[in-house]
Amino acid sequence: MFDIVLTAVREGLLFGIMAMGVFLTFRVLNFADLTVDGTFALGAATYAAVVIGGGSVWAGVALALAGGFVAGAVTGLLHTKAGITGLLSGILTMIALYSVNLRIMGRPNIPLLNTQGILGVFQPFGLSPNISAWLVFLLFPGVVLALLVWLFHTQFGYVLRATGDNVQMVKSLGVNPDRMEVWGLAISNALVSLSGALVAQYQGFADVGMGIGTIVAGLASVIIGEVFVGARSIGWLLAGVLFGTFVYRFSIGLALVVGFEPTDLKLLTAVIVFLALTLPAVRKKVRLP
Amino acid sequence: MIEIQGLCKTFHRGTPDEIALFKDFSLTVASGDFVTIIGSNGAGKSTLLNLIAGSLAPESGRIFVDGRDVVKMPEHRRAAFISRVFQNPALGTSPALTIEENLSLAVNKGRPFGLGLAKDRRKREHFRERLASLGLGLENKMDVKVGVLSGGQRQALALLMATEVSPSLLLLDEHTAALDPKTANTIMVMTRNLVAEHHITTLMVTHNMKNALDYGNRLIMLHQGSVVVDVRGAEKERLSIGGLMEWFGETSALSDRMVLAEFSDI
Repeated sequence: MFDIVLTAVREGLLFGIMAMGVFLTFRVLNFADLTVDGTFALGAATYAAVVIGGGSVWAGVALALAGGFVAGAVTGLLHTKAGITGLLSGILTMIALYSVNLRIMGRPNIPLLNTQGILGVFQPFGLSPNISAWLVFLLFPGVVLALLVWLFHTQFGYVLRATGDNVQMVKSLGVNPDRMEVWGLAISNALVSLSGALVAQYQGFADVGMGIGTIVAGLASVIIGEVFVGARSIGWLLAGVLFGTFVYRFSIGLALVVGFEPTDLKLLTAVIVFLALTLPAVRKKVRLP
Repeated sequence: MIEIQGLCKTFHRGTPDEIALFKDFSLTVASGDFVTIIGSNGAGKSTLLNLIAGSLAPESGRIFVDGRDVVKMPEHRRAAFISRVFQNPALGTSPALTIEENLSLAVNKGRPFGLGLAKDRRKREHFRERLASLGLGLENKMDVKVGVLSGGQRQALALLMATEVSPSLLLLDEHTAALDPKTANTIMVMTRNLVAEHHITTLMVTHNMKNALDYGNRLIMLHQGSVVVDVRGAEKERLSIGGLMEWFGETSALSDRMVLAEFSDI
């Protein structure tokens, strides 16, 4: 049992970066962005290709971030400049990324088993591989959380938040709302891509199919988090997303223990999202506390 | 100073429903003028504001705001010096942000929104004073999300935000029409005070004839895209609702909404 919790904490932290990215588009920009299914794998592919090509792990992480940023911007431009609906813009970028990811990797799967990679960056300071990995698990989501909280309290961040619920007002401020949306999608996908890179190292391989269902898992985490923290300040909401990711990973781990097959997980995820989406409404109807 | 020259706007172009609303429309408004605009449905009042604000583009013609030709400018660029308050109170404020957060955006209108922290203790005091001057008690709700405010409160806030950075031109598009009569009156008085305080050139579209007479120093009646009545100063002071109704009768432009507006005693 303790093992399941510990695994869920680790995975909650790594996938939590992706979920915070989904929070940015889904909750702040009010944009259901399917690009993330492609960018999660893009991050993994980029990182793995750099690391097995002999590059530094930091270069791998930086390129993963940059790649996700560009992919998100492409979706934003498809939506704002080409006038394609938001959902379809994301799908187009996602499907294009599948080919891009295969090009980057050169094959569908790259094992990363004989390297500690980014998880080992603190070992040169005399720390054990386990402690070093834990530092990475905590450091990356912590820094992302802090940066996002800061960003949401800047003038830019306020306009970003206004873009999601009142485009007319953003125009009234003299700001181009299209540009804000492109920025938001780019930042979000950079985070999802970073998460993909870290998860690839954590699980020991990058796979072209590992992004499938990312959006649903991200939504599950965001919505479960909201159930726990309710309507509070943006910092609490983001912390709630991390906690929601942990709860989600924990329920997945539990499902495996009670006998579900790994192949059943996508169905379970869909059910969890369904429950998380409908429970608040049901609770209101039957007036439970 | 606002100068509109040779403005043309056609709707449903190339279809059987084609309507050439503005044909060579011209209008000049002096700096500091408060113009009320009335007219029946379809007279072109809202279209005129949309053309000036940039949410619609004309086929031809020029619009100068303080010497700048704005016709080619996108809407968000013009917004740096043209403020607008809509009929729908939801359009002027962000519901997910608090009153203070909304105001801290408004004070930066037209300038770059960078990575500096948006909140500031000194600004907070300034906002508190501004809100207190509205007399609605909003100064005690600065950390409340705007989404939970009433329509009147949101419209008051929208008005304050539209004038916080004094614009070259203020466009009011039936901005009290969605409010109950008492709140509408409060917002109108607030409008007069803010416009006078900042000496803002203002165009106000209204269906309420009493408001059209009571406020502003110039009154324009539009009919089928043309100015059919244009009175100002002392001549406007002498106008009565009866006189206006007569004009409306002449243009056979009377609408039910105006009759209602006349009899709703505010």
